[in-house]
Amino acid sequence: MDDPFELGGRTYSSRLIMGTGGSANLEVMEEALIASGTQLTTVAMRRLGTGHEGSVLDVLKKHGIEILPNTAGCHTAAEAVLTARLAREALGTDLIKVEVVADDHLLLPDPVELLDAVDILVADGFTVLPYTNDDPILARRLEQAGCAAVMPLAAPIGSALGIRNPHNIALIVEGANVPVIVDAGLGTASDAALAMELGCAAVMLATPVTRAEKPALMAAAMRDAVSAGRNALLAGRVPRRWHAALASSPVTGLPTF
Amino acid sequence: MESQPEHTVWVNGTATSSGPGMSVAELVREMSDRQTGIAVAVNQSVLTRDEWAATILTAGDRVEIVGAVQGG
Repeated sequence: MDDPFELGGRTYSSRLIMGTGGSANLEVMEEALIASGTQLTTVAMRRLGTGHEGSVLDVLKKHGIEILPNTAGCHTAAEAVLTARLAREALGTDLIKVEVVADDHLLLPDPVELLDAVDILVADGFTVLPYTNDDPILARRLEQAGCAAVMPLAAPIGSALGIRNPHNIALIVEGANVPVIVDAGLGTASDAALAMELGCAAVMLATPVTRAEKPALMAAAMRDAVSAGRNALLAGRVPRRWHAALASSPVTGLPTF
Repeated sequence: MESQPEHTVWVNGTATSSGPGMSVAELVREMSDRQTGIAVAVNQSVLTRDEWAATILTAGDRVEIVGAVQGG
């Protein structure tokens, strides 16, 4: 593997983590997951009897895609901790994407409850991946608490607004010693490329693919955008020149007319 | 909720009178054909699969039985 993505002691070749939420049906989800090239995908935990439980696992198993359970829907640290423990028992993984949202309108993370949940889950042996605000100081605190990555939002979940504060994402990347994964709020391929150009280790998304008119085509676009953005970062872009141009053709040997 | 008869066991938020005396393993079999990818908490304490058979439900217990769905 030329450029492996290391996360919580695991290694992936894909830097696109695609969620399963929002697909019209399992067939559409499956096509999109395959097109995305993802090796890790999220699932939520819900009460049995809703009619949909379980079948998503069969699709993921068929394609060897690793499961990342989340705590979506939790509003307190206590709820998130219990949900994480249920997920670990049900799915046999220590990975957990911790979501603790403050309300159901904006779905923005509640930083106080999030940090409380993280402390408990790290002590309990989980590999903790927190969905967080794009706050460099909170990201630092989450890393210090023992998170295996930090996952700042680009914009509110499902908003498709793209990276609202690229400067904050860059500051988080600059200060972090764990992978930074932009999670939530992306809208289209250029958003994913920008996240990677800013130095993020990976991108996590669902809505922009699963709710696109052609999910599998958008999944492929996201896969290519993540790859392109990563390559652009590694290639080292030329500096921006605000006050002068730089000719790319020779400035000597000009004919005179 | 507190006015329910005292022999009630709460399963996923619904009162059930068939619960008391039943094991968690029996309850899971009753609720789902699938036995993998499921976890159970009784009174906010998560059980390991090994504990299902020996855990007998008693009146007042609050049981959550969950599985994975599309999300996130």
